[in-house]
Amino acid sequence: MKITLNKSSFLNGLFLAQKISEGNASIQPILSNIQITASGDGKIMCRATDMSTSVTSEFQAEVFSQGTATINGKLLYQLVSNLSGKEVTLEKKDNGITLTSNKSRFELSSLRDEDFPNFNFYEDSSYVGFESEILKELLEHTIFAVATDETKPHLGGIYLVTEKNIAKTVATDGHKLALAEYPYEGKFSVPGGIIIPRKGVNDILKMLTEDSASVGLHYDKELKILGLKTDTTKMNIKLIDSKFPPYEQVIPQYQENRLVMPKDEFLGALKRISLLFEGSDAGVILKITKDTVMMNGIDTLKGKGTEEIEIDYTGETMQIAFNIKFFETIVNKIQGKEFCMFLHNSKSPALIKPVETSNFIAVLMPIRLD
Amino acid sequence: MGLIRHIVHLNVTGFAAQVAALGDPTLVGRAFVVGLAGVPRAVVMDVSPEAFSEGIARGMPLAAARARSRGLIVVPPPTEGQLRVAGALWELAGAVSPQVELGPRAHLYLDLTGTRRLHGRAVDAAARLQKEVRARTGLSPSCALSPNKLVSRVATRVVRPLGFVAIPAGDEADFLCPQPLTILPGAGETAVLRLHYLGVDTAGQLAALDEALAAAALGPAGAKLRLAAAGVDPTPVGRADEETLLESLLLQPDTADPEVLSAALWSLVGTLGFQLRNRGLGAGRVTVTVTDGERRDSARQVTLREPVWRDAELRAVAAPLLERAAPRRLRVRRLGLQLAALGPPRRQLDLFSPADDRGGLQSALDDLRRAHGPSAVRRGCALLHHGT
Repeated sequence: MKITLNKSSFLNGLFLAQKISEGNASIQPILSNIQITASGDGKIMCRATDMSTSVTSEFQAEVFSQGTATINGKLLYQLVSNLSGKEVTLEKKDNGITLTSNKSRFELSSLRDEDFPNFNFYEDSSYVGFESEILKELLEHTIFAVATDETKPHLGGIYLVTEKNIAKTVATDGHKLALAEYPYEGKFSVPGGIIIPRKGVNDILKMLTEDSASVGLHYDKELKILGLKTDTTKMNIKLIDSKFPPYEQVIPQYQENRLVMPKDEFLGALKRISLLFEGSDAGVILKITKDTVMMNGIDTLKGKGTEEIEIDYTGETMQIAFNIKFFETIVNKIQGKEFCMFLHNSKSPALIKPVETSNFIAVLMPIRLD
Repeated sequence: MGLIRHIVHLNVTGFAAQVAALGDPTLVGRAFVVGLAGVPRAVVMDVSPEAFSEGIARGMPLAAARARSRGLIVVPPPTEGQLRVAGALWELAGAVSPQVELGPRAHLYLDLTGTRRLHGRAVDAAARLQKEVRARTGLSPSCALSPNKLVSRVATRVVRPLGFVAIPAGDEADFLCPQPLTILPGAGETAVLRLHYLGVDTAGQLAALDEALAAAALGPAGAKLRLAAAGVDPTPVGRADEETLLESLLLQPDTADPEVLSAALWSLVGTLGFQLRNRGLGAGRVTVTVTDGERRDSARQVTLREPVWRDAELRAVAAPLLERAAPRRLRVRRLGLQLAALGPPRRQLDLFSPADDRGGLQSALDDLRRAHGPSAVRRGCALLHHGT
């Protein structure tokens, strides 16, 4: 195999593949490699997999001789991105791969092509269009709530469901829950819902940085795989084969204690209080009265802080405590200048949502103080 | 040059014996020891000054102590009194400094650095505290003030049982110079013997010893002990989050019976859990220590994501640690429980699990204990053990 590639298109083609191959050496050394295949029509394919997510990117190059080579993805990407020339030549030789550009020449070792896992992608006709921007919004608004606790695998991803012309994503770690929804009338349908693992979501978000208005989706119900396709890239993500918890049951329906708070002022106050705790998982206590909320943070060593914010509140006087980090992350996701909260009592979940839009809600469980 | 620290150490010599005498004035002026009479292989847990003057020391077998002093009085450990007095010490110290450390047997450290505007000169504040402890608790502590914990600790041993000493900054090494090595924390029998072979018998001689020679004689601990002999100790006074609660039980006889060990653990959990909740704290780290019949120690520890404070939770965390620390058939002599990383009790509630309201029962039990004493209510499963 011998090919000459334009550096920037090579980097674009390599980007996702090297991200997926990165850090796989501990699983299996061959998985830290990417496979480059050059065909006679000048088409180059870069493939990579971590056995959960597989990706292939296509782009054009000048092909002098066809063939296949496997090469360490991270090393190749870093080398190419640091080359001074605009063109790169890759040539496979007996003992490895030679990479040349201008006056640079690197001879890189390579693993056997036969050891690289074989995986296939779905036919182009299998995919149905889904607006990229909507998918991105759905995922970005909920990924923060995905559980990082490996003992809760069923909560380790984002639940994507389509129902009644709505596409919806939900994520929860058991303490907080995020739900985003957008009107959707496309053909992609997962009425029973699918759970996309956190890593897969991150890979999708990297894939969606490409300038394509639409992304093709395909759900393989039998193999529990979500296929995605853009103009140059195809990706298969192994879904979490588990039942998502009955999230509807934990979304509060109460309306009686409604609080409207200025977002930036609240975040500023929360930030100042959190300085007392040096990033630890501390709580903030809210004392809510008719016109003000007093925010208290107490650290047994450093002292205590109080912030007062004027609010618009209808309901009973209440005291409730929340994890500062969870609260801050949720409010940061809210668009607009204000957000509102619905409360029931100090042990019941709070419903948090933007005032101006209705496509995002979050539920946050309080901290119980004994 | 950094700020000169003012570290106070209050040392209540024979803490358990002093507390016992407070509870029973007839003991004052008499030779008595604290221990478990009638228990095989019982040891002396604490001694009165009179018993000490008769050659009886802590750790001595009770039988040997009795043989040495005819008519020796043996009193049981005044556990509840010790808890009450420790609480009073904590309160008194907390009013003087925010940085307080209360160690085992009521070793109390305070950092008075930067408190001059509030309490006047550190030496005056330390003397006032010593007087106040005497007046409020009836205890007679020795008291020392120096720029670090180590020197203050050694100093209270030098002037005990009742004295007061202040060692100015810069005089630490001079003060320690004539002291015997055995007075230094960390200088065990083996270390002292090895140093003796090198002609080193005092702290001053050790401080002057070549660093390489100290390391050759004592290994990595040599350098640390040499610094200690020179009066160097940067250790901060334990803060609230570094404070620990510690309790242990001597099992009589040694046992490998899982039921007895479980009951002993419940008993420890009950004692420490009550102390923890009384102070409005939760524990973020739990350690179980086991000493077997051959006096070999093993410990298992877990750091928790969220603090625990109720007995049932503490026990649920400690039980697997006990299983790991004491494998089957290991005959346990002493079982210990330590709670650390103490902080406010709080729990992140879960969306999919109903709120746990069992705290009500725990609160009711604690109220009974506060009203009628820590042993007023006990768990049945904690009554099986035969320890103390």
